[in-house]
Parts: sequence; structure tokens; C-alpha cells
Amino acid sequence: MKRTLILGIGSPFGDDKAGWLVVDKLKQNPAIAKLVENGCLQLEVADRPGINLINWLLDEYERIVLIDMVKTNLQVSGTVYNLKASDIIGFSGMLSSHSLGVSASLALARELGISIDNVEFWGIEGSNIKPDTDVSQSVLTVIAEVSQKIFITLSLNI
Amino acid sequence: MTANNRTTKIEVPILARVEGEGALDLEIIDGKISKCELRIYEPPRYFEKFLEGREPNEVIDAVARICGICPLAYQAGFANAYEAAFGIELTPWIRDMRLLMFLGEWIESHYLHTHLLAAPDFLNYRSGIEMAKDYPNEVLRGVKLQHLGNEILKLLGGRSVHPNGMKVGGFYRAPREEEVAALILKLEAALIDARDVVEWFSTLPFPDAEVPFKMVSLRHPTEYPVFATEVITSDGESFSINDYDEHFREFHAKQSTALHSTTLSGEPILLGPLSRINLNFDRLPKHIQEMAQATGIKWPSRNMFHSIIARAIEGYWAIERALEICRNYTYTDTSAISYTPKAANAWGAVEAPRGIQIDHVCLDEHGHATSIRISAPTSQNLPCMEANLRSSLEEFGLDKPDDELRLHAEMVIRNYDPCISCSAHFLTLNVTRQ
Repeated sequence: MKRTLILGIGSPFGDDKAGWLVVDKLKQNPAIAKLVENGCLQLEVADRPGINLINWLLDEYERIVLIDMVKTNLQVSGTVYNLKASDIIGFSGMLSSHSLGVSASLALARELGISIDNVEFWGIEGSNIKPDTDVSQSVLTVIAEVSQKIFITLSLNI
Repeated sequence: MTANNRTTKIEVPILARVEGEGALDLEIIDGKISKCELRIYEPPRYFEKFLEGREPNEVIDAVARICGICPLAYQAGFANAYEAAFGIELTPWIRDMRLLMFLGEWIESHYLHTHLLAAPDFLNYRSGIEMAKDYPNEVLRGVKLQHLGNEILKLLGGRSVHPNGMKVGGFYRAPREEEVAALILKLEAALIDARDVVEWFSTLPFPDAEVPFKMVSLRHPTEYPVFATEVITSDGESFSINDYDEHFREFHAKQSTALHSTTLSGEPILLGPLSRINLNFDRLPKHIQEMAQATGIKWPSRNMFHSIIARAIEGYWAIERALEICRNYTYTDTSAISYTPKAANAWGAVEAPRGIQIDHVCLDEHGHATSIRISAPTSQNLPCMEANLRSSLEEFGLDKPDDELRLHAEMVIRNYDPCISCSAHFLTLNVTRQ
């Protein structure tokens, strides 16, 4: 059976919530719920997946979709990126047992000989990651767009 | 880098494979260290204050949030304190499950630290990722062992990060027998891997350096210590955790938002795997003692660089003990003991992966906390780290380039696997030379 994992990464802090919100939006879609029920699709959220990402990669999913807020400071808040895993492994990120970042985890997986060809990354440019703040309007407006785009690719692939 | 009689401040922001935000301020005057301070500048988190007034299980859930790697140390420490306060006698089933869950935390923490944070130091790699290019099988083995620890945590805690299955008096649910049985094959395979890890680490090149610190650990009546109420030291002392303050003191150091601990006379105390194995070698099963001897290390060891071996041996023991518990598992309808809250003062202690985690609660007649104290092992180890850095760097050679000094300093710090906090992580080294 073709299996897809969608993993929303984030935290409760401002725009960093973006990955979680996209997964929430997907859950509201009855067609998605059906895919989950059939075992074709798994929806997960995580704050810091760390090296658990490697265990998901070892789990032989047909496709893994990661959604996370990014902060490049090069584009306006709300800009959406759709990248392959190989495009983001050079990104800087934290490396410690508490916070092995997404890019570092993918880079480690590649060095371990684990395929990351099945991983795609959806990034949403955010601007505000302060505690006790809510997601900004610019990010909020693209949540539905990203979830819809992911849904379309799911429909084509499953 | 400066010549003599000149002063330069060098900042090297780097992912230094330590947990939390810290900086090392190093001042060298006339070829001698005049200042060596591990500066912890993360904001205080005020857990002890905002938990006041909370009922017991709120505290158990909240303290799991202190750390993403060792949440159980806090949960189990406080569970022990509340259970002592309320006079709760745990059943053998609950004691076994508490131990199993805690061993899961040791397994995930030890294998993550040793493979991705510590081993690259010994093999001259800047990171676990770089090391994985040449040691893919070894790193993958470590990652899988770490994941097995997380699976155990998830079995009893519902999730591996900030688990919430534990409560005062036991657990919210008992795992089904088939869930536990599913772990047995994995643990059997892991035991073989864990033995290979010990053998691999025993081939690492270890710098020759000894620390003079007083070693402190818990002591269990019959087995290697995880939960216990007796504290022992390398000076032959033995006392109850209830008397902790009669032997050690916590104090505020101006350079740190983390409290420090020493003996009452100001002597640093060393907690963690090296102290545990040194003081409890006789509590390891005979065949694991033989495995430890076969590494070529003469136990007890005062070389902090041997901490990586100590962790690997503890990892092996933890997997073997977890396997034993899983093989003997039977389901129960009584996964928790009911209790009546009452006013009390009580201590709770556990051996967290990094050393003794000791907690104290004062409770009102409803069991609500009127005051709380949390003493994490890393904060207790900070004076040791500073003293160890001072002697290690002097021995290493203060005339070495700043980059080499920084790398050696980080390696010394990483022996302690410090868990400074759970947010952004880097070490900035400020070197001032005069």
C-alpha cells in the first residue's frame, strides 16, 4: 500500500505554528480523513522531530511531506516555498540532542545512506516567533492555500 | 588570538553539541588562567514559583516540560516525593513500570549523547553528521538504540517527548501484554548492538586526565541505582536524601542563571554516569562487570573522558534490565494506587541520565504545593565543570590557538552532557589574553 506521512512542524509561538495549522486544515477535509482511515495517509505534528525524523525515513513511506515555518528574511511574510529535501539540507540549523533541526536530520540521514528522495518540504515564510503571540495575518492567509496544494498532490499520487 | 600584553576578545558562535545557551569566559594573564566561568545566561524559567498552589498531578505533568530529553527525571523525582509525602506504598507492578520507563529515558539520552554529541570529539569530527560519512553503521546503530528508548517512553507515557502517562501513585493506564511483547524482540536485538557499542567505544583514544572531585550518586539496596533514597560519596559518606541539605548547598553564582551546588565547605561535587559506575560497580551484574573490565579501563576511573564508556555500559545494563521486566510483564487493572493528600514535607530523588535529580515539596492539607525546589544534575555539576575546565586547559596548553582551546574546552564540557536548558544551543568562547 502506498503510504504518505504529512508532518507539521512548529511550536505555539506566533508564526512558528504554521506547520501545525496546515495539518489542522488538512484534517478538516473529509477526503483526507478517508485517506487516513484507509491507512494511506498519516498526519502528525511535532515541535522538534529531531532524529525521530530518521526513524520516519526508515519506515518506508512512499512519500513524506514536511511543513514548517522558515525565516529567510529575504521574502515577505507569507511567502510559500515548495522544495525537495536535497534543496534544504544545506540550511543552517541547530545541532544538539534537544534540537536536531530538520535540515540537519535530513543531512544526517543522507550520510547514513537513507534515501531522502521521497521527502518534500513546504515552507512558509514567517516573521513573528515571539512567545505569547498569535500567528500573523500574512501567514494565516496562506494556510488554506498550502493545505489545498498538498491535497491536490495527494489526490494525484494516491 | 593575541600576543602577550595585548587583549583581544574572541567570540566563536558555534553549534557546540551542548544543551542550552551558555558561554565560556576565559581570561589568560601571563600564561595562567585568571578567570574561567561557564556563564549560563538563559532566562530563569520560574518553574518552582509558578507550580506553587498546584495539585500533585498538575505538578507531575508540568515538570515534564522542563526538558525534552530527560522529562521523566523530573516526573519521577516529584512522583517519588509525593508518594513519600502521602505514604503511598507502590505495588511491584508499578515499581517495575516506573523502572522500565526510566530505563527508556536512559537509553534514549545515553545513545543520543554518545553517538551524535560525544563520539565526534574522540574521532576528530566537527559533528555527528560529518562522522556519519565514515561511520554510517555505527551512527545508525546509535540512532536506532536511541529510538528504542523513545519507544519505551511512548509505551508508558503516551509519547516520547513530554510524556504524560505517569501520575502520583502509578500510571493512568497499563499497557496491553501484546504492546510489551512487541518490545521484547527489539530489546533482544538491541542488547547485541549495545555490546558492540561498548566494544567500539573502548577503542577510542582517551586523553589522560584525572579529576579530583567528590563523586556522588544514589545507592540502591540490591541493584544499580535508578530510584533510591540513600546517597553515597567517594569519601565513604552515606546518608538519606532527606539530609541532602546537611551535606550540600545550592547557591547563586553571579555569572549564571542556573544555581550551583557544592559541599557545605565549597568543594565541587560530581554527579552522573562516571560517579554512578564508580560508586556502584558492585551493583552491576557479574557479566557486565566483566564487560566493563574488558574495555581496558581500570574502575573506578577518575578520567572524565571515560564518561562515554560509562554511558555505554549503563546503556547495556538498561537494555538488559528492560528486557527482563518486559519478559515478566503481566497486565493489571490496578495501574495506580489511590491516596489521600495531606500536609507534608518530602524529598524525591532519581538518577537522571546526567546525575542525581533531587526535588523537594512542601504541601498543604490538600496536597497543594506551598513551596517547591528542583535541583537538576547539570546545575549541581557546574562548579565541577569550571574546575575541570581550568585544570584541563592548563594541562592542554594555554599557548595553543583559540580554536584549539575552544574545541578542547567543549570536549571537556561535553563529558558532562550538560543539559543547560531546552532552547537554542551554542557555546560562545570569550578569550581574553593579557
